Amino acid sequence: MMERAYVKTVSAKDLKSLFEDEFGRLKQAVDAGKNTALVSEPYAGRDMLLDELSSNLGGAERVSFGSVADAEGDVPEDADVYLVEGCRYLYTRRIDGFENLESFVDGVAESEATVVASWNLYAWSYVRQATEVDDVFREDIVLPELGTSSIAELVASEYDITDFKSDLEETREEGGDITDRLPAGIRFRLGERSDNVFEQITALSGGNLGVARSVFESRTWEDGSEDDVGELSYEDAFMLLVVLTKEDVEHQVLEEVVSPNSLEKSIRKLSDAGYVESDDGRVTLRPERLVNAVERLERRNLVW
Amino acid sequence: MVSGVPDLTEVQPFDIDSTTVVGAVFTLAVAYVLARFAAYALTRLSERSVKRRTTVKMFIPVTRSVIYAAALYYVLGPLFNLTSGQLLAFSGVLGAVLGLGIKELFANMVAGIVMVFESPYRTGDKVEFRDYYGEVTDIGIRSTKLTTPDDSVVTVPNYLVFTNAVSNANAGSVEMMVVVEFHVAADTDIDRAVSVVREGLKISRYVHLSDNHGVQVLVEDRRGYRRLRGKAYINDVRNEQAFRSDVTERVLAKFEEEGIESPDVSAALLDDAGSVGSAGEEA
Repeated sequence: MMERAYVKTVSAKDLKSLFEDEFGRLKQAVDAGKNTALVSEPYAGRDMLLDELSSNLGGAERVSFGSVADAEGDVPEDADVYLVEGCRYLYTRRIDGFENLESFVDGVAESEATVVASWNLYAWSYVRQATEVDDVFREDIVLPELGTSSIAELVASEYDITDFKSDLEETREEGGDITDRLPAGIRFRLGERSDNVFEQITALSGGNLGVARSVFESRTWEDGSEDDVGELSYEDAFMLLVVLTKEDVEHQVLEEVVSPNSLEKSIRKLSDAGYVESDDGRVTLRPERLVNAVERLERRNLVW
Repeated sequence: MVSGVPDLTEVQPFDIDSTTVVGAVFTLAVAYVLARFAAYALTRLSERSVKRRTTVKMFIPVTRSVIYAAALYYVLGPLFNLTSGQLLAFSGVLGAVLGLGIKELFANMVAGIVMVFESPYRTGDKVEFRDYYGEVTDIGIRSTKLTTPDDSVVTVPNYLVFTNAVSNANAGSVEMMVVVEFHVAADTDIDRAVSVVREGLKISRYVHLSDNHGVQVLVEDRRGYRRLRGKAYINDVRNEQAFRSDVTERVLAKFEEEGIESPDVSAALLDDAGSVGSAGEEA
């Protein structure tokens, strides 16, 4: 599996301070015995937040599904609290592709344990309409976008920002409060045109901390946000959607949901456009293109 | 002289000469070019986003109407300066022209203006009109253009809208319900068949699922076979045929894999010839 360098250096404690409200609600839900879905965009740090919850709770069991092949959907029966990662692998978009998810949901419903399941936002939006998963996970907590000041402090704490000290000072003075109150679409358009590098990074990352790191490392803001890829075919856009919901997926899973004849061509096209990386039989979403990918799919009404 | 009443000898008579005619023709030509350009620009803008397409296209007939109305006002404005004799002569000519056979053209134009405000359908809607079904691609002053699923362009005179029923499948929305039908043998495992159809609808790459847009499968018992009607919403009205094809292909492949058989053709024909199936039940 491809190493995700962009999340490895953030401590769970840092994440907890960034998502204090959400962590508080999570803890309250677990204490009340409510099965909870923790939902976020890819690379936004939800699994690391589970790490913090795990150390906070003491006796919680971790269950992790690393791929579709691993995700058999069984819920063990020997703990009071389960923290489940990788739920996005529990289904595939084919007939009978929801069996593992349904088995998992039935297991959670019958169990007396409290389950916190982490979900990719776009996978969750789909499965809660396609199945009855939200009848069992009645509480869902969605991690919000971070503002400019949070992104700036995060980047400053992890990288050498000597060249951008003045931008950081400016961000600290302004507090980022004014633009942070604007609707996201307007905020990000303003940010893209800003001279302040942290506002640009926030705009290009959509307030996603993992993507922000990737944007900083690859200096994406220097290329601008011009989209010179041209229009994707519907087939390519749908494959991009599948990769978005899975984040990291095997070729054989993609073969089941897209046309096998065009699989390699679509992977090549998306890879050339910078949306995905293909290596060792797996296709992974590139974090620095996440915002652009979501915009394209929204324009096609493929994400909702 | 009575105060407040204009002295008619002071009203300048309006002369229609070659300059006036050329000016009118030039004004109408400019209006035509402007209207075409505005429609083109708005169409290009609308195609950038599926979600905003119908909203942006809604402004096309409105913009065209405003441009033509302004041009007509500019051209016909001087008519208000006609003497009573000239006005009477003009009315007579207009009445004769209408009576001579272009009353339908006039009726279409009036209907076109009314449609701008009443909107029985908008550009981008999928409508059924008498024998024609297709996407409304243009609403003009005189007629409406539909593009059928076979890519034929049908031109419908606007006045027909007011004398015929129009069925609108999506009413301005990007999403639209589509029905896909399957027929299975009477002795088949109906629960399994329903489950396959339901999943086939949910997993389609063209489906749109939301709290208001779910998936339904209705079962109808016919003599010798069962009819399954799968209903779901698609994410873009233009994906209707692709959705039907996608769902049909996947469901039939699964039916074959699991031995879910199609009905005997003769039973289906006998039923279609004269009987009525029992009432459907929702699965």
